[in-house]
Order: sequence, then C-alpha cells, then structure tokens
Amino acid sequence: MKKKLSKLLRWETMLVVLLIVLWVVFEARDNGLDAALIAKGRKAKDVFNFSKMLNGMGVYMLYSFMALGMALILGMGDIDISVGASATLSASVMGISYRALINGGTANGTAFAIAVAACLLTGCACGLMNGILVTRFRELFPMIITLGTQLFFRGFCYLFLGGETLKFDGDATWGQLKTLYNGAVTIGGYKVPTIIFWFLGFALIFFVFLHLTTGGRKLFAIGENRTAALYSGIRVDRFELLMFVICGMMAAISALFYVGSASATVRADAMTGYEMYAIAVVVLGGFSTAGGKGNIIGVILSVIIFGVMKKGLGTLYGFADSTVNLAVGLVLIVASLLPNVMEDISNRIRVKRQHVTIKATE
Amino acid sequence: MAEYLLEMNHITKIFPGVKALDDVSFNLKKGEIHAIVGENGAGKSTFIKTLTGVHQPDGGEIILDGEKIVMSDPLVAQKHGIAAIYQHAASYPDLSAAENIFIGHEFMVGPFISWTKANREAQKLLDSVGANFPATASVGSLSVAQQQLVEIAKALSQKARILIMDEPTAALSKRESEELYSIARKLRDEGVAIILISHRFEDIFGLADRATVFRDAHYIGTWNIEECDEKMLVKHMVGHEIGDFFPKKKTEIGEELLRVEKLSRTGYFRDVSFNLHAGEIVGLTGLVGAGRTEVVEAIFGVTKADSGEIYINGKLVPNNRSPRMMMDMNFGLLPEDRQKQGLHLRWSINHNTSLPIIDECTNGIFLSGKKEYEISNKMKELLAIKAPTVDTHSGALSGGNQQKVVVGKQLAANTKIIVLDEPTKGVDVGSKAQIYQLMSDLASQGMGILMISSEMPEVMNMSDRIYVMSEGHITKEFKAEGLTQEEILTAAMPVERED
Repeated sequence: MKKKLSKLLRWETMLVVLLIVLWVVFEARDNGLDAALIAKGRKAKDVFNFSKMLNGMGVYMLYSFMALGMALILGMGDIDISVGASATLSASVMGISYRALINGGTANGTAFAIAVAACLLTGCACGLMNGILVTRFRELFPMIITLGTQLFFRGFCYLFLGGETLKFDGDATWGQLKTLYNGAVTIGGYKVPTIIFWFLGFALIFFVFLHLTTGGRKLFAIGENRTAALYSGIRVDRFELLMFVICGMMAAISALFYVGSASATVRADAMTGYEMYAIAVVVLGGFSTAGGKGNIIGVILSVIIFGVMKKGLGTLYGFADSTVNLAVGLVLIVASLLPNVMEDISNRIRVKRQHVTIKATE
Repeated sequence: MAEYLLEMNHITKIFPGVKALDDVSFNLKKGEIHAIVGENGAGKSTFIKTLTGVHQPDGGEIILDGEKIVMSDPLVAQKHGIAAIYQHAASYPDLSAAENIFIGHEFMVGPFISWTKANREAQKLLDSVGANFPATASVGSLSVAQQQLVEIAKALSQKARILIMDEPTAALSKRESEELYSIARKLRDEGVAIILISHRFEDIFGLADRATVFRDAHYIGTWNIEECDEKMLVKHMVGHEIGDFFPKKKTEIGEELLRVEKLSRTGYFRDVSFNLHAGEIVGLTGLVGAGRTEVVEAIFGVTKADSGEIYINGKLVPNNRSPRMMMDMNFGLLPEDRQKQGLHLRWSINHNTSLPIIDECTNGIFLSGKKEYEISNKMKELLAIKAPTVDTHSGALSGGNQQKVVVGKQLAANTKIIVLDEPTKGVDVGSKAQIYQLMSDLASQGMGILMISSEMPEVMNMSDRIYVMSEGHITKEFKAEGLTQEEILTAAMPVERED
C-alpha cells in the first residue's frame, strides 16, 4: 500500500496526468469548434488529433537534444545558458567551412562531411570552454560564466556572418539535413517524423547513462554534494568538464536539425533563447536546479507536453507562438513549486498513518 | 497557585518516519535551573521546540501557571514569557546590540523608532547582565560570550519568565562560562526559571538544581542534583554502564606506512614532518586553527602543498595527487565535517558506502545493485551501524552512526592508512566508546591510524605517539606513556612574542 502510494506520487506520473488533462481539454475544444462549423453546414476542420500532433511534433523538438545535455548539467547542480549560442556558432562554423571548402574545389560530399564534423567539434569546444571556466573558477556562478560565454559565442557568430544569411537550400548535399528534419516513416497508418526516433534514440542513451551506469551515480553524487563526492574519490573536475563537453555536443546536434528545419540556411541570430526552452523542459521534467535528482523519462514527457501545449493553444485558441510562452512559463512556475507542496502532503499522510498504527498497537 | 510554573505532560511528537518524543513529561518550578540531559537524538531539541511553539505536539498538554496553553506558534510562547537563547546566537551581526535586543518590539514615536530610548533601555538591560560594552556596538564585533549577553538581554526585554539556554557554554572559555553561570544564578534568584540543555557535566553540576534525563525520545527520570553523579547520569543517558571507555590494546608496531617530509603550504603550515607505522595510532593535536586539518587535506590531494614529500610504503607520492589517487594507494580520510564532506545525507547508507568503490560495483557496464548491497551490508554488520536496513537515509541516523557510515566508506575502499579528523566531534557518549573500540580493533589488524583531535582525554588515552601543532608547524613529538596534559598544552600554545 505504502509502495503504491509513493509510486503514484512520482513526478513522472504527475506529468502523464498533466499530459492527459491537456489532451482531453484540447480534444473537447476541437470537437466543440467542429460542431459549431457543422451546425453552420460546413465541414469539420479537426485541427487537433493524434495524427496531426504527431506530424507537427518535429518543430517542438528542435531544442530537445540540447535538453538532454542540459539534464546532465542541471543534475550536477550547474547550469549552462550558452547552449543556444553554442548551437548557432556550431552551425555558423559548419556553413563557413563548407563554403570555404567548396570554393577551394573540394567535392560536395567530402566538404559536407567535414563541415558536419566541424559543427560537432565546435559544439564540443564551446562545452570545453564552459567546463574549464566552471571547474577552474569555482567562486563564480556557472550562470554568470555561461552568460559570458553566451555573449562571446554569439559575438563570434556575428563576426563570422554579420547580417548575412548563408543559403544552401539549392545544394543537394545540404538537402540531407532537410530530410533529417522533414523525413517521416509511416507506422500503422500514422506518419511519424524521423526526428522523434532520433530524439528517443539519444534519450535512451542518456537514460542508460544516467540511471543504469556508475557515471550517472557519480553525476548525481556531484549534484547532491560536490565536496562529499570529492572526498569519496570522484574526480569531480574531470567528470564535470566531460559533461560540459557532451552538453556542447548536444547543442551542435540540435543545430543540425535546426538548419534542416530552416531550409538549410544559417544566420547569426538563429536559435536565440533556445537555452531557455531547454532548461524549462528539463526543470519541468523533474530535474532540480540544485542538482542531485531527476529522470530522463520526465524530460521525454515534458518535451511532449510543451509540444502539445504549443500546438493546442496555437491552433485551437489562435494564440501566436510567442504568446503561448505565457502559458508555458506559467506551467513551469507551478510545476517547480509542486514538488514542495507534494512532499508536504506525503509527509502529512505518513504522520497520519503512524498515528493510526500507534493507536492500533495501544 | 500551582506548585509548578510549567508542566508538560505526556508530550508526543511524530515526524515522518520517527517518533521524536514519546510520552515525555517535564515540570519546572519558579526560580529554579532545571537541566535536560540526553545523548544526541534523545529528543531534547524537539522537546524545546514544542515548548517554544516551533513544533506542535501530536499528544499531551502544556500547563503554564495552572492554565492549559496551546503553543500554536512562537509568538504565543513569546507572549507567555518563554524565551530561548541558542548555541549559535541567531542575531543580526550588522545591527547594533540595541537593535538586536528590540527587534520586533521597537519603541515607536509615531511612525519612527526612538533610538535614544532604545539605546538607553538596552544599556540598562545589558548593565543588569554585567555586559561591559555599549548598546550601540555592532553585534558582529562582539565575542561569542558577549553576543550571548545580548541574547539574554533580548530575552529579558521580552519579560521572560522561562529562559531556555541551549548549550550556552559550548563556544565559551572557562572564564566566560563562569561569568555566564553567575548571570544565570542571578536571574534565577530574581525568579526566572531556567531550562538548561548541555552536554557539559561542569554546567550541569555547577548550575542546575534538578536534572531530567531523556533517552531515545523517552522520559527516563528527574532527580535533585544532590542525588546525581556523573556516572549515574551517563548510565541513564546511555541505558547501560560503560565499561572501559578507552579500550586501547597493546599492538605490535609494524613497518612504516606513511612518512611526510617538510610539507609546506604558504599561509597554512610549514615544514611538517611525521610518520606513521602499521598498528599504530598517532594523535595530531593542537589548538583550533593550528593547521592540522589543512595538513591532511594537502596530503589527501584536496588542496595543493607548495613543497615537501610524502611516502606511502616507502614510495614517493606524486605531487599532482587527488583523493582518488590517494584512495587507490589505500589512504583514506574521514573528514572533519561529516555532514558536508563525509556524507550524501539524502542518500541511503547503501549508496554512501558504495560511492568510493562505485567503479567496482558493475557487471561490465551496468551498475550492480547486488554488489553494492553486499559491501554495504557487510559494513553495516562489521561496524554495528544502528539502522533498520542499509536503505535508511544517512541523514536520519544519529551522529555516531553517521560517523560509522563514513568509516565504512573508507573500509570499503580497502584502506590501510586512515586519517580521522575529529572522529568524535558531536558524537554522544555511547557512540564515542564504540568509535574508540573500532579504532583499537583496526589498529590491531595492522592499519595505521592518524587521529586529529582537540579532546585531550582521547588524544592521551588512544594514541601511541602524539604530535602537537601550533601556528602551522609541529612543535613537539611525545610518547603517550607518562605524558601529562600540561606538557601537551604547553607545546600547543603559540609562542609569546615580545611587543
């Protein structure tokens, strides 16, 4: 009985409930709108259903790869607000190196492969820089350090590109990025974008790492109590540095999908504010910014919840995408407060149960 | 008029997972000093918090002056004249003594605070408790003893009838304690009832009229102080008699395990040299701030030494050492602050114990829960850690048991040389004896133990040899046999300089 209750109160369960509630509300609203149309003698539009949601999910997943990297960082009690800029810098380096290679006479395929590698390496380098600064200068908050690197990386993008937009939409090799983003497979009559599989694949790797290996244990040990982790023989600095590098690499992977979604174009102001979505998704997913706890399942669920909210509020209530952020922000605030409230409730229940058993034994 | 100023009958308080108070009763006469004693976790602080309205009891009643009172929040307690002063005075260091005393009940003139009146009244109160500083002095500039006077003055300004003193002398020197005693006696003679919580028997026998013992959340008994002696109180606190408190065994001293040569770190310590043999317990003592902890932190690789060499089993340890490297060389450190440095408090005993050897607890790439449980159950049994299972949160354990978990972490990592930094700090009497027994056992198994301690009895009774540090360097090495406390203290004192 006790086991069941605490399982029910798990954060992931709450997220599933939230998802179902949102879904039911949106379906009801959609049916209501359609009924009104039919009453006027017109055809139902049916803008919100499973297949449409699935189909449109890709655009809401662009920051999801960043979010997985961010989960590692928040799990250690750090934060990295430079990932949006790291991603743009990675994309910029990719575009510029590709153009330079083509102009130098390199074959398209080879140039593209090198450019993608450069993109990933740039992401890693950004993460490395963050990691070195965070582990060397413990007296500074990671928030401030990565605010600095955010401006630094973004500044580099403008230095490289200025106001220019690099366009590769005519280039067949860059078309691979478009397919990466636009591609879909049909399963049981539903068209499922391949980006979902990419995300789930990466999420699986991160899940295994965080929850089934010693690496995850060390990560949470650092997040829970960095000093005690050091005294327990964990090479804290080295480990933390590596996690920042992985976080930077995940930002670069987000950048690959983003370039695909933007018709293979690269701009210096792309992906501005994506770090905030990534952090929001991870926090809603149950990672505490103080570090030490969280579950990748929660992150997967909250990526879906953010997508459903944006799609539902956008198509059914006619809010502009930026206005929808209002609701997203509200959910985030409520969600961050809820764990405290729930802990309070479960403590009360436990005390009450102890009373009952004490009475029974008397 | 009731016989007692305060009666607390059958108080029960339940927290998630534990019964903190179980049918506890207590009474207090007007103008008496009543000591509450018990080991850590016996329920003393929880009991005080139910009286001051911080916690609401789940059962029982509080009767003040013959009237039943519900202490629904701290303000109610304050209104009834109940005030508490704590070990770490909860004051505002940047405000003046007067501001601290009258915070929350300032003298108002219209919308403004009348500071002249506040300063005058504060000075009167401070003078009445024998303070020798002005009411306008900022509290941060005062000594701990003086800060406590401010707290007492604050309690008096609230017309306290019942004053609770929680470990008031913990941070005071002997002379300061004496001064506090005389103030407490003066207040008692003026009719204030004082509840004294203290671990120090000098406080209890020097000050209290009666003593009440709590153990494991239960009320054990109340005695007039004339009926008590130290042995009898300890017996009631622990629940059984403590036999040999310092069970030091004679062991064969083996070969040299650790040798430190001329280790220096600018600003912290210089030219520190010592050695440690198998089967030996070596004490490293000195005054607080002598640099003892800094030395072992540098050896363990938490901080970097500027110069000097360290040999383990005769082999030179590289300068770029880290805790991991030292642990791989079978060198373990039990850090001074077990809650911040030694443990993950929200983690189970199991996860804490396996952390230093987590890379060995795998099946290929995946974590193996089975291997973790194997080692942590073994340690729980070996060290007699008192907890239902190894899944118990380490934060829920008593100080002594938490310390055992930290020792378990070192033993799990197959430690041969172990440094114990203040191993019995904040540990109750019963657990202290167990920790000494454990040290003695480990030494007799051939481990080398370096014990940093400020407590003279344990340094003198547990060590084979003793190093004394003062102002960052080792001033003296002693054989423990035939040593007197004065000799150690003389070596520990900073050298007086001619001005």
